[in-house]
Amino acid sequence: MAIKVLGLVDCFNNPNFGPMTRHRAIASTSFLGRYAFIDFVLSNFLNSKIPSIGVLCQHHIRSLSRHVGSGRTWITNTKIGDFHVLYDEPNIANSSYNTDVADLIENRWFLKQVNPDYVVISSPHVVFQEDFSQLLADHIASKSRISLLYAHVTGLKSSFINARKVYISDRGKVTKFEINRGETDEGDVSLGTMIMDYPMLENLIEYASGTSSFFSLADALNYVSPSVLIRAVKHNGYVRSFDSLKHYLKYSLELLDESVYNTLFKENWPIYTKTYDTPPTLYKPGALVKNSTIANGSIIEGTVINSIVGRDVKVHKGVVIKNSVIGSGAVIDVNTHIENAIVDKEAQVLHVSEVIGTLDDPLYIARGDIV
Amino acid sequence: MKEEMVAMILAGGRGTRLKSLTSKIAKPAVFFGGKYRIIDFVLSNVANSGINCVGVATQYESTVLNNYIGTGASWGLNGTGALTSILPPRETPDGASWYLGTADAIYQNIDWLDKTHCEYVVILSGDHIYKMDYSDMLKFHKKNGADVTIACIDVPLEEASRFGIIVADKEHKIQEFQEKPKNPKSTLASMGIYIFTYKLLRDALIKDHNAEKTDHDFGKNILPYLLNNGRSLYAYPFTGYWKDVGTIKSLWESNMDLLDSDCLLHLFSKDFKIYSADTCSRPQYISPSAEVKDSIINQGAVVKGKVIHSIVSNEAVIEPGAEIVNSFIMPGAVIKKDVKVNYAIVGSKTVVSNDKIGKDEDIILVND
Repeated sequence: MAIKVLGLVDCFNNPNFGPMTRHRAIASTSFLGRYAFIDFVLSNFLNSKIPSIGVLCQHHIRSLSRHVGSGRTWITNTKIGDFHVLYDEPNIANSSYNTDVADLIENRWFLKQVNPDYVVISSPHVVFQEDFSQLLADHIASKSRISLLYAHVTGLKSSFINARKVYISDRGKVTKFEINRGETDEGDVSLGTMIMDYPMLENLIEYASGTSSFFSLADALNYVSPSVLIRAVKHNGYVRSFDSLKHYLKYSLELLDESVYNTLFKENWPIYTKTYDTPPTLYKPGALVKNSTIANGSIIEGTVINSIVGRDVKVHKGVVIKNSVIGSGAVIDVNTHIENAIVDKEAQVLHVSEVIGTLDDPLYIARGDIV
Repeated sequence: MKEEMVAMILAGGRGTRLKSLTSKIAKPAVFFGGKYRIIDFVLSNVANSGINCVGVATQYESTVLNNYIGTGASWGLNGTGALTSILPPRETPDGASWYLGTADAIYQNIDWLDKTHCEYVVILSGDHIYKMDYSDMLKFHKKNGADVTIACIDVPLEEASRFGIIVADKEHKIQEFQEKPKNPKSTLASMGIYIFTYKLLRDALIKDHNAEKTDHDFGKNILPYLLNNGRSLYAYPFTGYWKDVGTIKSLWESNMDLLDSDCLLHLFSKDFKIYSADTCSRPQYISPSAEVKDSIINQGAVVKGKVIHSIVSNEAVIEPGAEIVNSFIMPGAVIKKDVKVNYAIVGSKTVVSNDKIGKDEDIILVND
């Protein structure tokens, strides 16, 4: 019989985008106009033929549930597969106690119900494409208890801050974890994605909860790393840790470059998302659009350059949008100039003629606001 | 189950006038408007009318169409208490027969209709582009105490001879039918949408089945028979956008109509959505070298050339220097570098390497 695999999306301790993530998790934050970040990890699971998925939810369950719904979009066989958003209700108002470990303990029924042979754990804010079916086969063949995905990154002084750097022995084992404070620019960094057998996960949970009620899985991993062999597996190709509003804008716009885009989007690796049944995009006679992605349902009468426009956005005549991300349902009234800005969902830019930030400090207009 | 009104969609026709577009798929499954298939419109109408039970009679090249309809989930017609049934001809203890006409397609599914315990049936075509709330038409049907209500639309007098024409009195009561008349007495054209009181329909279908000389056709046989037998037939006046996309020219026109800001279809309106199966496409990408004006582009399309007054579907690729004007590009088609396409319909996954220039009066179909 085939091995049983459970995919877990760990939404705990994800970074934040400041005001943009006040009412939502990064997992359910809009990305590239038509996705939410969680779509990438969920599609990695689905495309890797992982039949069951649990989403470990730290907070903002409304936003997360609204996006994933029943989860059927990311499940192949809806009887054999299982999808649940796992939420630690007793600890929700007690943030120190609200950890992924406590969430797994609270929702142990789900682990027992799926009763997997192996578990793949991945974080939604780190975006990459990876075929876990191959990684799983390699993991099993290696007879390791834990495999950890890492990437060799240049730019650690300004990215992957607070992520865990990993030091790897000649034999490919993790020897040490270290929080990245940006001291060196180049190094190996954990992507927060692990493969382990289910008893190992139970051991980690037990170890973590027995050591400290505040421990996360990552803390536990750090503590057991001297005694458990953690196999380091290098990820090659596109990877970005979306960890700030500035990086949200920068990395989003970077994907407008086809040579970058093609390292994330692969043939036969569809990214599944919630459908909104919006009509296609309408470009009016006065539209001028260059190097941009526009999601369905939008009506464009103005100029859009180097930007990402979400669903059902209205860009009126005389508008110029540059280097910006416009959220779904936003309205940009006539002759407005928007540059280096993030206009959140359903915001309306009606009364100001300029909304201009910088790439390092993008101007943010909150969801539903009228300016 | 017990439904007040169920829908039956006639989706079995071949659509030969769409030429090679229907060589491997039935007309209702032909692509439309960048992200749709033609049948999305009628199925969305059914859903938006609050009808929960729909049968789709399929016959010609039905595999793609049947897969597309599936459980009806794309239109929300798969919830608890809802039923979407694909109804191809089948073998019975009495033998097997293809659907011999529109009426026969319904006759052969009387057992299915009986099980819905419906009071009314709305008969629909799977190949028209329009938005319509059939519950309003049912209200009209009940108010008039009609046996049959036929939706109709006012057409220009010079085009009336192409349609089945309805002559009705001031109270909308139908007096006469004229099938593609040389001298039309009215400009009210039948839209091929009928609400029947089911009991009456059932009897008429059985009589038609047993008749010696019949084409088993609603327009030619069932409706004239009922009218001649003193039944009360009413014409329901519809005033929105409606188009039969049975030819290359009309399919092209209807796509171009979407670009007309006065178009009564109101495709972009949110309170009567047209649903469609999601294509899990990537975001559409408009490159630095692209120019897009007066056009509709769907998710998944990659545009690096010029697109003017055209419709570009998902996963279509317009390479640099290519120029698309007044054309409808179906999903996955590739327009190669520097190729000019004008007044054309380019079929799904077709690769166009040479210029294809049609004319307003002679739209060309490019379809491999």
